[in-house]
Amino acid sequence: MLRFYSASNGVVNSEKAMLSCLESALAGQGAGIYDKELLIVIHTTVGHDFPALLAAARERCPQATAVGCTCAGIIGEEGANENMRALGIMVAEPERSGEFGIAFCDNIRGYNSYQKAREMAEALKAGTPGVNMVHILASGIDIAADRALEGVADVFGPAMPVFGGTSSDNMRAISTYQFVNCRILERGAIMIGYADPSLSVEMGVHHGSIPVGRPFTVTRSKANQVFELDGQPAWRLLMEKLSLPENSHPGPCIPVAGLAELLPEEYHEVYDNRYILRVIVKVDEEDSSFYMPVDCPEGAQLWLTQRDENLIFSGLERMMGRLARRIEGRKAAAVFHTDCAARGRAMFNKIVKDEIIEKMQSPLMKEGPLPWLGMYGFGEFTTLNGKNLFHNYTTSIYVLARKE
Amino acid sequence: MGATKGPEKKPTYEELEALCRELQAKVTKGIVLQQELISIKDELDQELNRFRLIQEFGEVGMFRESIRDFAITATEYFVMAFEQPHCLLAEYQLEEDCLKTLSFFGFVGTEIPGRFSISGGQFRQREGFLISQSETLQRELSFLSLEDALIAPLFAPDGAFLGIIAAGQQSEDQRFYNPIDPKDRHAFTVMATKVGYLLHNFRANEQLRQEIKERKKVEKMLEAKAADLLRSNAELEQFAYVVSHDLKAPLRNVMGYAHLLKNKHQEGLSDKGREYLEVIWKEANRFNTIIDDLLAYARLSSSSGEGFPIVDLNLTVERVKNRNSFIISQRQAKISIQPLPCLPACPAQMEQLFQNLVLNAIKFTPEQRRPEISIEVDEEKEYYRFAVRDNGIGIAEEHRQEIFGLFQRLHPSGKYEGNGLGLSICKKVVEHHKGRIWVRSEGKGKGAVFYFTLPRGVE
Repeated sequence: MLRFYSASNGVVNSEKAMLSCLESALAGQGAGIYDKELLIVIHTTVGHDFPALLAAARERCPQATAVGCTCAGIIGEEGANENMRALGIMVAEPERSGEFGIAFCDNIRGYNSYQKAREMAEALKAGTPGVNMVHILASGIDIAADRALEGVADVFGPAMPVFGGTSSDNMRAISTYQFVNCRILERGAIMIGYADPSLSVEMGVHHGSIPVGRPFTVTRSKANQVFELDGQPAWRLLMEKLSLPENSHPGPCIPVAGLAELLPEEYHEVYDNRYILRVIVKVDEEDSSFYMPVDCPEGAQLWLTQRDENLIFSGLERMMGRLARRIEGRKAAAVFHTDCAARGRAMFNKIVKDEIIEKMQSPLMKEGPLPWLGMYGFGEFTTLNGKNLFHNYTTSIYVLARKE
Repeated sequence: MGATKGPEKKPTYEELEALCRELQAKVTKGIVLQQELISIKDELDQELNRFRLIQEFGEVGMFRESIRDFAITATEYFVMAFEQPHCLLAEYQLEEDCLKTLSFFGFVGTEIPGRFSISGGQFRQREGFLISQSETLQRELSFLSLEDALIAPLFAPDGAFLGIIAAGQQSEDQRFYNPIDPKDRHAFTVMATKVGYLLHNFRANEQLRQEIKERKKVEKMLEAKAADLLRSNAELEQFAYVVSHDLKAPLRNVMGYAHLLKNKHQEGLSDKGREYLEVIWKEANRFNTIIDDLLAYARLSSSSGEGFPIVDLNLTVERVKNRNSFIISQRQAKISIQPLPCLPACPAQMEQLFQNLVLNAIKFTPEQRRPEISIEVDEEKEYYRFAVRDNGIGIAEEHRQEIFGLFQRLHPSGKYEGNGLGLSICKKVVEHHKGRIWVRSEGKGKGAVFYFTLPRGVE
């Protein structure tokens, strides 16, 4: 049986930040816990000195497996922190070995996402029998997420719940990083398999944006690369519509250049929206094309979107209500949480942001504090109606509930 | 006739298309505008957070243990407040006319010298500035490899130059860090002013801190010594008590047999034998007295000093006089006593104290002189000061301390009887009552006055 502990802080000295997080998360568990074979999931913003963070974790917990990724901000039980040096951790303590396992790869790209994900899933399955949920932390810029999900499904079956997110930087979409013990990857992906039959994961996902104006039609594309919209170079047209220069880097455009795609009808109710959103984090300047995180076939229609504050809050309440009904009778053991980087300070001021987080935390923490680790990433893996999907611009919450 | 309303003209497809385009343009502009507003709000949030951090730094920095801790805290707070990856704090060294690095943050792989020079006179004003505004400084601080940085001089309240603080980015950092907003120099100046004042205070208080530190060290040492002394005293007293008890038993046997010899077998002894027996008897008695005194002394240490009953010292002295009436009348000693107070004390110890002092006064008055002893008292705010005055042989100045030591005898044992414990017991009794004892004498042959104080206690 896995037990979870979390902590976060804004300490700027990386070594101190990690030690302080570990002390705070594991306070009261006895000195012996530091020598156990723990799992430490790390989320950090890009200003931290990563080697120092990882070395501190290794020194304090020499037997632990440390995995993680960068993000635009961390969300802990203590709230959100989007400073350049923010750190959040979740520590999982197994009762016996084999209750979790990890697999990772480097150099995951759009074209090899299926293969890499499949290989990781196979390694995970072979190394950790009994995996009943998969947590993915992957590069946020290069991955073709739907292909990666297919790779996982082909090994574990489509019913295996997959959750997690893709890493981000501070919304610049330049480089994101993943960590495995003391290794720092720039285009990596990590899969954590939890093999604890007493746990199951319940997920909630919501965005609260609405499409505006007339849609663009994808007139030329290949897999997840969109070359033309309405017969014009895709990125140029998009920037023109937003009155932004064509040479804009996608990073700063993320808050305004999100695109909506119509969802199949069976998801409308559970998603609380008819549209799923897509983020653009990579642009090919040469042909003014851009990359979507999932395949985008020709003929698909894409809308510009606008946030609807009422929908954001009311939808969040509905999402938490649905989640509470699904958890009913069980106890939450830990919460992982991925929010889109654009839903941080780029989109909301502090008050709104804090309110959103509070609306998620407060119903789950009625009986006391709950280990909580969240990040503002570039995308979210969340199961919808039993199908694992990749989302953008959402708040996605994964409650690890303990079966009675 | 009123104007008739003509049939409504339906917009053409082109007109509708144009309208749609116009609306679309307005919507997309609205999205961008909304984003700009959010950015402004975010900037305000950051500014608020920055001033909160500056405020917090003032409170935290003030209570750092050492200048090093303070400097580390300062650089960390600058990193937090200005979201820069690197920061350096250097202090001006007047004697060497250079800057000494106190602390730096985030310069991984950059060699920072312990001391470096910058040309004087650059900092005529307190305002912070961008490094790009000073070519000279950019050159002089080139070892930091900062492409973009804010720098501010540090000044003491009296305007003395104290050092510099710099925070910024190296070229590699610029992937993730926005260029420094020149507006940030105002907040940077505010924080640098705070650092300057705190640094000044730190330096000013450093001597004081050092003194306090040393005093604490000495106090600790003294405490340890006192504890050692107490322990060895206690051991010594325990030893004396045990030894005295153990000596008593064989001595009682010696005295018993000597008594039997004296009473029942004296006739069988020669004159020499009787003389020897007398010596044995006298010495055994003297030994007995020493043991009794030692026991009394040891008992003093093992008894608690708490919860004394109220003792009428007039009665105490009266009892002392009665008990020693033989020697007093033998020496025709004149004892005058002022009215004495009642105070919280151990009755037996008070008797011992006055007896020892009175007998001491008689003993050290030459045979040919009539002892004149007066017992006086002065009332002070918190204690009584007693004086036992005599007209004895007096005490030379150099011996005034040592007479209170254990077994201290200033005279050959044949001249004045005694074992050197009497005054030690007096000292112990007085100290046991939280008082003080000392002696004054005009000199040899001019008598002595034994003073002691005893607390008044609760009236």
